[in-house]
This record gives sequence, C-alpha cells and structure tokens, in this order.
Amino acid sequence: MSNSIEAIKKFPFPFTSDSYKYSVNIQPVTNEALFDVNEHYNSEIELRDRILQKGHKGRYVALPHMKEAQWDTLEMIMNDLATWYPESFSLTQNGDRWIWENKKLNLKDTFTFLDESSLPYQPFEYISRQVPEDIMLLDQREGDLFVDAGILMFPTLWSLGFNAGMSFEEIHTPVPRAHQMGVFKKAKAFLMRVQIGKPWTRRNWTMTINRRLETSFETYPEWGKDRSTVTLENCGEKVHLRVEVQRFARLPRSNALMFPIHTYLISLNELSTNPAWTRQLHQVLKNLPADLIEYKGLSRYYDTVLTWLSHKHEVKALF
Amino acid sequence: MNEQTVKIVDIKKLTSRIKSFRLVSANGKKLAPFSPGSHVAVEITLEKKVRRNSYSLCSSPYETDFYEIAVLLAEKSRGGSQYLHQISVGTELNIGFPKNSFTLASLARKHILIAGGIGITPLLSMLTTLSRYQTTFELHYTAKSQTECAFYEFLKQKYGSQVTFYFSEKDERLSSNKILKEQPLGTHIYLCAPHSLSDNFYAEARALGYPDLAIHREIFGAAKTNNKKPFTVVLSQSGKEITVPKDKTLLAALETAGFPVNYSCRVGGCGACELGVLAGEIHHLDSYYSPEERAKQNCILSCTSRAKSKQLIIDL
Repeated sequence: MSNSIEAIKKFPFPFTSDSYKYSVNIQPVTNEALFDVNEHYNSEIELRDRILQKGHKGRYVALPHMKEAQWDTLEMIMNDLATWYPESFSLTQNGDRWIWENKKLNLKDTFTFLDESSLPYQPFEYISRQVPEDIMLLDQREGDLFVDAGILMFPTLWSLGFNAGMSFEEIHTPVPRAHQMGVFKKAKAFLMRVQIGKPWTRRNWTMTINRRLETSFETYPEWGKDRSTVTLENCGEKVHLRVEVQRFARLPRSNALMFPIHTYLISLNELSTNPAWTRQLHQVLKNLPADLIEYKGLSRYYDTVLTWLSHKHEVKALF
Repeated sequence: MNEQTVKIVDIKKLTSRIKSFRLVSANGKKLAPFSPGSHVAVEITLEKKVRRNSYSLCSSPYETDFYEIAVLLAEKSRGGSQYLHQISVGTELNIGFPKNSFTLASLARKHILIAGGIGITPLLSMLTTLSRYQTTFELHYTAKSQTECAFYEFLKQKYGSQVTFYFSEKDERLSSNKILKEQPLGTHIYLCAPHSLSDNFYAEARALGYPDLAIHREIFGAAKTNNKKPFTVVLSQSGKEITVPKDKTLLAALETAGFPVNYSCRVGGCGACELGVLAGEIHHLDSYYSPEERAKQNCILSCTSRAKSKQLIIDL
C-alpha cells in the first residue's frame, strides 16, 4: 500500500529550512479541512478497527467529565467532513434529531444530539472510528491542560495508557532540549488561548521502518527489530519519513482542546522523486544533534540513510 | 472583527439600569456554540471610533439559535452601554466568537457562585450547565434591592433554595466567612462582583485555606487608575514609535497604528494580549499576573497596563 503520485505531491513535507530547530512552529488553519480523507481512508479505518477489536486498553480512553467534549468533537468532525467532502459525508440536523451519513463506510445513523443512548458507542468513540486521525482531548482547568480523553492507534513511541490524565508538561518530560528552552511552557500558554473558530496546525516528524503506522510501546517487540534490517540496498524502500500533521481546535461547549493527529508515511524512494525534498532531508539529518537522533530512534540506521541520501543527491546533481 | 453578525430580536428592561438583548444570526450562519462563563466582544461604532465591549452570554449553552446578553447602563459610560440602551429591535451588530476566561472547573465537587449586581451575567450559563449535570452548587447574589436585581424571578423559580439573595437596601450583607467555611474539600469559588466584594471573598478564601486554583475571578471593568499618563512605545522589530494617549489603551493604540495584537477579554483578566517588554518600567493594572511575574518587568498586558517610565520598548 504505497502512495500514488497524487499523494506524493500532496505529502506534508515538514521542513522549511536546512537545519532542524525546535520551535512551536505553529500556523493558522485557513480554508482547509481539519480532518484529511484521502486515498488511504478505507484501509486505515479498517486497520484502526482491527487494532481496536483487540481491546480498548491503551487505545481509547474518556474520563467521565469529558462528556461535553465528546459531543463537541462529534459535532465538529461531522461538520468538517460534511463541509469539505460533501460527496462522501452528510449531516442533516432537525433540532436535536441528527442524521449522519458516511458513504465511504456505507453507514447511515439517526441519533439525538446530547443523548448518548441513541448512539451505538460513546459519541467520541463513534465519530473517531470514522476518521484516520488519532485524537487527544485536553481538558483545560486550573491553569493547565490534561489529556483526559483520547483515541490512539498510530502513536510514535508513546502510550495513551501511560499518558492519560497527565498534564501537558508531564507528557513532554522525555523530549530533550525543549524544556530548557521553555518551549513547552510557551506552547502550553499558547494552546490555552486557542480560540473558537481559529484552529492551528503544526508538523512533527520522525522516521519509521517499513510502512507501519502502528508503532506503540506496547507492540515494540513486533517492530523494534526492523530498525536493524536497513541496508543501502533496501533503504529507499524500507525507510519512511513519518510526518504528523497536528491540529489544535477549541471545542466550544466544553472549552476543551481537540488535538487530532494525522500520520503520513512516505518511503525514501517516493520522497526522492522530488529532488528538493531529497536535498533538504539530507541537510536536516546531517545537522541533527546527537540527542535528537537518539530520541527519534534513528541511531541504528542514521548513517545508512545519510549515505543513501547523499548518493541520490549526487546522482541527481550529475544529470 | 466581524466574526459573527447578529440582529437584535428582543429587548427587555430587567431593572432601571439593566437591559437584556436577544441576538440571532443575521446572515444565516449558525451562531458559534459556547462554554459556560463565556463572553463576546460587541463592536460599537460611535463618532467613527470603533470600540469593543465584552458582554457575558447569559443564555443556555445548549440552545444556540440565539444569544442573550444583559447590559448595565454605566454611570460613567464611555458611550458603549449608553448606545446599547438606546438602540431598538432590528439593529444589527458585529460580534466576535465567544471567548472564555471564567470557566467551570470540570473536577470540582461543589461550586460556590458569588454575584454582585451585573456580575450575575456570566454565572447564568454556568447555572444551566451545573443543573443539567446535577452538580452541587450555591449561588449568593447581592443587589441593591429586589427591583434592581436582574433575573430575580427567573432564578428564584428555577433554582429555588440553591440561591440566596442579599439586598443592601434592607441591609442584608454577604458574610464571606459564613459562606466559605465548612465547605467540602474540592469546592471551587467563582467571583463576579465589584472589586471590593471580590477582593474580600478572595482574601477570606485564601485565609481559610482554599487553594489559589480553586478561586476563579471574572473581572468586569478594569482597575481604575485616576491619573493615566500618555507614554510612547518603541516596537523593537521595526523601530517604529507609537504614542499612547492618556485616554487610550496600549492595545487600542497599536490597533490604530496598524499593529493588531491578539486579545480576548480587554480588561486584563485573560492574558491573550501579552507583549514582551525589553526596556522601560511597567505599570501593571491587570489581574492576571502573580506578584513574582509583575516584579520581573518583562511582559505587559496591552489591554490595561501602562508605563511608569516615559517609554517602553516592546518585543513586536
């Protein structure tokens, strides 16, 4: 399941300069969907479904006080999908009586807004099973943000089971450098002021071996060993740039913060069809400090990737 | 700011000086839902000058076909409340999206709400949510008299014994000690009252051992300072110099000069309009910073605070 030429063109390449700097690097979302329904939609929804069937533990959590935030999320996602992908989704609201149609999943449900018993799942689970994004819901109280609900299938080495209920800074404790720079304090202050109707976005990146979206702590034994299988010959096929497009939106009734994360994977072969990207990724990796190489889990194949990229880069330069 | 355009469909006179306004969308777009305790900025243009007054949304967060605001005719009106008291049904207004710097604490076990006069307004939407989720609460509401007590009948009928009224005309006084002591652990307090009353409850709550994070204050009307002086600011990135006249806030002066700054409450309570200060002495007039943060003298809330020195160099 690789990317089409169209998907490669639209890939959210995360770098804008040759050196990677920690910053809040956050942009307003204007005139685009918050949730991305693309060519991988059905396969990713199926994959998420399979993962969830093995159990909710560590995958889905919603603390009791997040009821309002759950309905907020359902309303925001339904409106977003129906607005941006009207050929696939529609929402009809007759007062509290809502009809939701998802043609991609052949699903049509009538339910009563704010009445949980009218849906087959909790509202947050119901709607988040229909988007490929992982979603965290952050309760804002007592001058802090807490991950008090979330659905997480495609984590990059973190765990909902471990992070649920934690405050913003507790969650970011393992990230090197940024604490000293005050990044999280500033980021938190910023997030706490995100306003209704004014969502924001940022991109985060790492690398993954093979086209594998599910890289959680819990399944590390299944995929951790793949990191030692990278050679110069298979590098282009095996090594993927992994980009998270994160959104931040204020949920209006609950005043909670919705944080959806869409994960995109692109193999180095696919990426290298764009010479500018190849060159920039090479430069960024070359300039990456040792502690970040370690934190992002790149150590075991870092040198191989650099060599592979420099060959690509040079070969392109020759012609 | 024309985030939402609304039309006034009903005006009610609640007391001799308070009117309520029912607002519906004027352009077919749905009004934004909001959380309890929210306010909206209402744009008022007087003599070609645009001003934005913040008013709490009094209506239900679960019924957003309309908004309701209640406006007190201010004694020393800068024109905003006077204008709203004169307009009639059918008038269109530009308003902002709802913002909230006075939220309900989601994990509180009990909520004590203290209202003084027009301070009842943000508490009304809180009451709707609290009663919907059957959370324990008490409302203590003081006004001059029953006739000057906005929403008196409504509150009495809907919330009964959960509400206590205090009419100063009858010499009925709120005792902060009596109300706050012997409350269960996990009680949160919400203060929306004139400064003196709010300060009194705050001090009493701290003395009784309430954690700071369990005391929530909504500030209406920024702190008054009698002798506001003009000052200048230099924008560090462009070197541009802007004069802030004595009757204008730093935020408004920056907006006029074409440097719009992020803002929310405009009365020094939420922190949205914070700017970094590189040089100069700040006169903090907000209710946002802690004493430690004030002492650092490195940031300013541009909506209310000013300069002690003649000039500030700001990071913009």
